[in-house]
Amino acid sequence: MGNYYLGFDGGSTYIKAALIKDNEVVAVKVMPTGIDNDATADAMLEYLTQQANITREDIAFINATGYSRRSISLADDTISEITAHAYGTRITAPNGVKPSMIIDIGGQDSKIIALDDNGGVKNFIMNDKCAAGTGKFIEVIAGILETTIDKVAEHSAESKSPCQINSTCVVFAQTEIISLIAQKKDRCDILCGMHISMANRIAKLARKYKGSGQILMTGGGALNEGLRLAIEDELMCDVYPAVYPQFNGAIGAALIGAEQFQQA
Amino acid sequence: MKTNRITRTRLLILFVLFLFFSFGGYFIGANTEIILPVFNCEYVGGGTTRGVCIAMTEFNKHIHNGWTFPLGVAACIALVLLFGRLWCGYVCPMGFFQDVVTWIRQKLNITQINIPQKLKPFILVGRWYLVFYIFFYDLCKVCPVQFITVPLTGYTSNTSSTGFFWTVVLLVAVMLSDRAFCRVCPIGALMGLANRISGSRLRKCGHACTHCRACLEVCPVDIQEVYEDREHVDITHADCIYCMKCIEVCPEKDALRFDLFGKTIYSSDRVTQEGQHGAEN
Amino acid sequence: MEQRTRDRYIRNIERVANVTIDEVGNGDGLEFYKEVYQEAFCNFDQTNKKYIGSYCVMIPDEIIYALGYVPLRLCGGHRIPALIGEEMVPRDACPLVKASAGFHAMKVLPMYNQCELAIIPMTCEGKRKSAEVLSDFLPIIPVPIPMSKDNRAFEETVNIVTALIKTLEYQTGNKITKRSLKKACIDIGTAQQQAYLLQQKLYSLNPQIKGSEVMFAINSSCFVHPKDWTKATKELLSLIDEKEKTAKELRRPKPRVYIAGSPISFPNFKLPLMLEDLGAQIVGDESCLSGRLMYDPVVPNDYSIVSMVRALSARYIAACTCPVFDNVEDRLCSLKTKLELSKAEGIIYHVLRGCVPYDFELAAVEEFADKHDIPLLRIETDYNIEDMEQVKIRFEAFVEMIEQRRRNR
Repeated sequence: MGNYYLGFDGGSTYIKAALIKDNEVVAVKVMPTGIDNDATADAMLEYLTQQANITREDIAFINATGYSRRSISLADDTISEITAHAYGTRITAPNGVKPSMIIDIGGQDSKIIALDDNGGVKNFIMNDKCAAGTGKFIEVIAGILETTIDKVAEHSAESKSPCQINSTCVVFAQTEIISLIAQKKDRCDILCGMHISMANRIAKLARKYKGSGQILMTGGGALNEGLRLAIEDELMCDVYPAVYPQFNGAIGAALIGAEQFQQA
Repeated sequence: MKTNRITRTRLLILFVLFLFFSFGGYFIGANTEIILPVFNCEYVGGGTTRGVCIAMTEFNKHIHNGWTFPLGVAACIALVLLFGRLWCGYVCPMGFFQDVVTWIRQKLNITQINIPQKLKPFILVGRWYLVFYIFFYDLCKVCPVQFITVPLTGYTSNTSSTGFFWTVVLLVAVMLSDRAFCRVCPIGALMGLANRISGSRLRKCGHACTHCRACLEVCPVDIQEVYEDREHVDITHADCIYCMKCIEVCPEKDALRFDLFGKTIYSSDRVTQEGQHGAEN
Repeated sequence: MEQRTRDRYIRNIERVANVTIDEVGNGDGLEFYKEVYQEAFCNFDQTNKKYIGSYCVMIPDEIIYALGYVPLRLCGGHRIPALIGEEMVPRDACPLVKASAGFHAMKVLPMYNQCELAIIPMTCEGKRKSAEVLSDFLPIIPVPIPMSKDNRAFEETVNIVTALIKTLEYQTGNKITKRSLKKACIDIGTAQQQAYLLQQKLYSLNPQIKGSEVMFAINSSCFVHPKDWTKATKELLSLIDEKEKTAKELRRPKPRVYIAGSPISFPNFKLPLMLEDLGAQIVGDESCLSGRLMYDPVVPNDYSIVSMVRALSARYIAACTCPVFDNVEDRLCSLKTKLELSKAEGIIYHVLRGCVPYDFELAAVEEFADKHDIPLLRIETDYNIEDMEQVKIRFEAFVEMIEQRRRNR
C-alpha cells in the first residue's frame, strides 16, 4: 500500500478529484456531475490511478467533500467543504502567499472563509440559496452572449466602458442583458459589466472579514481572470489565484484524509 | 423568590442591641463615656452608651470636661471610618425602630410609596440642612427621636410641640417608606462620607446583572446606582446602610456581593429551594 | 367549515406535531412533556378550560392565572398554520405571526377556539399589526410597552400593567385578589426554579440531557399548569442527577454551541435537532420561548398587590432582553454571562425570516463575539423544511470549525 491519498469534491456542476502524495499533487481530474455519482467517481479513480501509474491499493485513504459527498460511496470519510477549502490552501496557495481569507466561487454557491494564523477556519459566510455571484451566473450570461465560459475573461479585458448591470439575480440579469444587446452594446462591455456586478456582490460579503492579510481565490471562478481583476478593483487589494483553483476542495479533502489516516 | 437570611440576622442583632442601648445601663452602668455613631438619645433611661448626636449638639459643653470625651469622639470617628454606614443597618436603635414599623406595614399590607428620583436633590438639601442644624442649633428641642426611643423605655422627655409635630411627620413617613428617617439623618449624611473609604464595600459584577430591578425595588433607601451601574465594580453609595437586601434578592450568581476589608462575606445566588418565598419577614 | 377541510387541517397539524414529538421526545423522563404536546396539538376535543391568549414573554402569566383563566401563548411554531396565515399577513412578516393568525383561522385546536381574549403587547411590528388581524377572531387588548428601560419608562410600565389588570377584570368579570395573585406568583416561581436548575444541567462538561430536550421541556410549560410542570421537572431532574453519578468523562467532548436569536418553539425544532445530529452539544439558548421563557424570577418586596405588580413589571419587561428595546447592552451582558457559564465555543444566531429586530442586533452581537473570540454563524430560516440542506452545510462546517479550533489550541 502506497501513501497516496485521494480527495473528491462533489460539486453542483462538476466532480473534482485530486490525488496527492507527500503533500504534493500527483494528478487531478474534473468531470461533469452526472446522474450517477458513483459511476463518475469510479471512472475518475480509474483515470487517476492510470495517470499516476499506481493501483487502487496504493491509495491509502479516500475522502470526499462537496454537496454530493455522501453519494460517493467510494469514500472512506467525508468532510464539509468549508474545512476542505481551508486545508486545500496549504498546497494551492502560490509561493509566498499566506492567505487570511479565501474567496471561493463555485458553480452554484460562493463562500468567503476567514482563516486564522494556523490556516484553520476562523469564520465563514456563504451566499444564499441563489446563483447570484456564482459560476452559474457567468455560464448563463456567456450563453446569451454566444460565447463560452473560458473566453469570458479575454472579452472582458478588451472592454473600455463597461455596461452597468444592476441585477444580481440570474433571471433578472438575463433580461437586463437582453435589453443591453438590443441597445447594440458591445459584448466585451457587457461581460466586463457582469464581472464588476459580481465582484461588487462578492466584495460586500468579503469586506466583513477583510483584514490586512492576503486573499486567495479558489473555485472555478478563479480561472476567470476578468472576475479576479474585478474583485481586486472592488476590494482595492491583491487577490491571488490558487494554483489548482478548481481542485482546492478536493486537495483539501485529500490532505485531511492523509492526516486522519496517519493519526489513526 | 428570595432568601431573608441576612435580614433575619440583622433584625436580631438590631433587637439585641436595642435592648442593650435601652436597658443595658441597668447592668453595666448608665451613660458610660462610650460614644457610638448611632442615633441614641441621651435621655433614654437605662441607656448605656451615647449616640454621637449628643456629642455634636453639646460639643462645646463636653469638650472641656477632661480627656474621656475627646477620646470617645476620636474612637467614634475611627469606628465610622472603619465600617462606614454599617452602623446604620446593624446597630442604630432608630434604624431598628424603622424596621419594626416596616414590618408592621408589611403585615398590614400597606404598600410603600416610591419616592420619585426627582425628589432626591431636595432630600439631599434637607439632609445637609440638618447637619448644619445639628452643629449650630439645638436639635434636641425639635428632635423627633426623643419621642420615639425614649418613651419606649418608659421615660418621658421634654414636650416641645414642634418636636411632637415632627414626630408625627416622621411616623407617617416611616410608615409609607422604609427607613424614611435614614434619608435625612444628619449623622448618616456625615457617615456617608466615610462610605467612600470604609472597609465595608458593596461590589457588583456588571455583566452578570440583567437589570431586573429587583435590587432597587427592595432597597430601603432607593439607591439607583445598585441597579443601574454596570461600569464600576465598587458601587458602595453614600446612602447605603448595608442591609444587603439587594444581595438577598439578586437572582444572578455572584452579581452582587458584600466585602468587609476585602473578604467576601456574602454574595448573591439564585434561590432554588422551594418554600423560600421570603418577603414576609 | 367544511368537514373535509377540517379533517385535512387536523391531519396536518397532528402529523407535524407528532414528528417533532417523536424526534425530540425519545429521551428518558420526557414522557410528561410528550403528553403535554400531544394534549395540546393532537387532541381536538373541546375541554372546559377558558383561555386568555398573549404574545411574547412580556405579559405576566400570573395575572391570567389569578383571574382563573389559563394563559395561551399565541406565538406559534407550527408550519401548517403558518401557511394558512400567509393569506392574512404580508409575505415578509415573520412565520410566528403567520402561525398564530393561521391557528385562529383554522379553528380546529380547542385551545384557540376556547380563547376568549387576546392580550397583544406592542413589541415588534409583527405583533403590533397582528392585533388587527386577530381582531377578526376574538376581542383584543393591545398593550403598549415602553421601548426603553429608564425609570420613567418603568413607572409607565407599572401603570400599564395595573391598567391591564383593571381591563381584564372588567372584561372577564373576575377579580384579582392578593391571594390569587400571590398563589400564581408562587406556582410560576417554583416552576421557574426548576427550569433554572434544568438549564444548569447543560453547563456540565458532559451534560446528561440534550439541549433540544431542555428546550422541549421548557417550551411545554406554555401548555400546562405550572404545578404539574414543576412536579414532572423535579422527576426529570432527579433522573439526571442519577445519570450524572454514573456518567463517565467523555474522551472527546462534543462541540458546545449556544443558540442566540429569534424564538424557537414547538414544533419548529429543526435547528437544534440538526445541530445535535451533526454532533454538537447545545448548551443553552436565549430564545424567548425556551431559554428566556422561565429565566427571570418574580421577586416582590412584599405580597401586596402593588408590590407584586411592580415585581411582575420588573421581571417581565425590565429584565427582558428582547431586541425591540432601545439598547443592546442588557442583551450583550446576559449573553456574556451565559456564554461564560455554559463554556460555549460557538454561537448560532438564529434569525426567523422577517424577524427584523433580531437581525438588527446581529452586528452588535457579531462584534461582541469577535471580541470574545467565539465564532458566530447567522442562520436565516423559517418554519419550512425546504432549506434544511443549505442550513446543514453551514452547520456541518461550523461544527467542524469548532473542533478544529479546539485542536489548534
